[in-house]
Amino acid sequence: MNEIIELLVSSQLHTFIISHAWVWPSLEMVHFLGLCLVLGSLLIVDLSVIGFARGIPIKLVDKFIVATLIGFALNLITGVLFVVGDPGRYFINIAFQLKILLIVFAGFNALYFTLRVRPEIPPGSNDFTTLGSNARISTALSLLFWTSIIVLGRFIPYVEDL
Amino acid sequence: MEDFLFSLEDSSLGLLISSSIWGYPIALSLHALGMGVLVGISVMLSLRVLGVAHAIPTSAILPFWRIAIAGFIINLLSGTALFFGSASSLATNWAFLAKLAFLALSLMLTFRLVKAAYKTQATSAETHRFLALGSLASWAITIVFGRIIGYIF
Repeated sequence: MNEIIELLVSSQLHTFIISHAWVWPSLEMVHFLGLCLVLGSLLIVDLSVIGFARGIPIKLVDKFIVATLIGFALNLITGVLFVVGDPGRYFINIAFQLKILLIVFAGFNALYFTLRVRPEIPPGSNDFTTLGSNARISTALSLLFWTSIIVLGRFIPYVEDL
Repeated sequence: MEDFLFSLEDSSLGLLISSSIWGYPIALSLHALGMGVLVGISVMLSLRVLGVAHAIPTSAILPFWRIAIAGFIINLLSGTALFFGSASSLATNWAFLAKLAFLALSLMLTFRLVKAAYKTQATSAETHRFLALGSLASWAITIVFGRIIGYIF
């Protein structure tokens, strides 16, 4: 772990991030915008599958996933840059560790939904009652994971003594 | 005015935010969640008008506007609590004042977008696109100013 931290701290990218005052706040702004893209699009997709907006054809609602992917890409890039900019702070932080763990869980859950749940939905179907309970559990877990990920991210600066 | 702002900071809500261990991070977390809900869904409503998922009827997406309003209420409450915690310095923080101005503009544009493109469809597609692009830009600027608040605090 210490070797990784030393490697990151000695990188040119690290020097760039910490030597310009505008970089960090700019990364935060993009990270917050990415958060909105991820949560906003997943609320529409996941709540539709759960049965919140019955008029939505479920086979079409995942067009909004393009916003999720763009938001996630923005936050993966800015998130990696936060870690490169201050590695000693993040790796040992309990909120950061839990956040990364939940992102991995959310990734496996999304994979399960894509590979196992979505193919079972008949084309043009609006009938949410035909979906198995695994569809509702998977989408409810998705919202639970992502709200927890946001809260854990916000807690990172306040758990440094734990 | 200053006495009033200090009295907010000395209120039990103000002290809960500024002096308790978990008051501030809990209010901040709620504020980030409410932002994700309100801005996130508002952005999706704009993207739909601009052509994303255009096969889904706007009337089918309208129920999500109620969720966005729930996000707004979460942030009105958490934002008020955060303001009580540092009322005297926030009242003169230019980024905070700019954020409030753009928040008002963002809400106005999004309300008009929902009315024009989701509820009545009376106005032209041109108007809908203008409102969608305007609200996207305005929400982004609101978030940018929100982030600056902490740096000039």
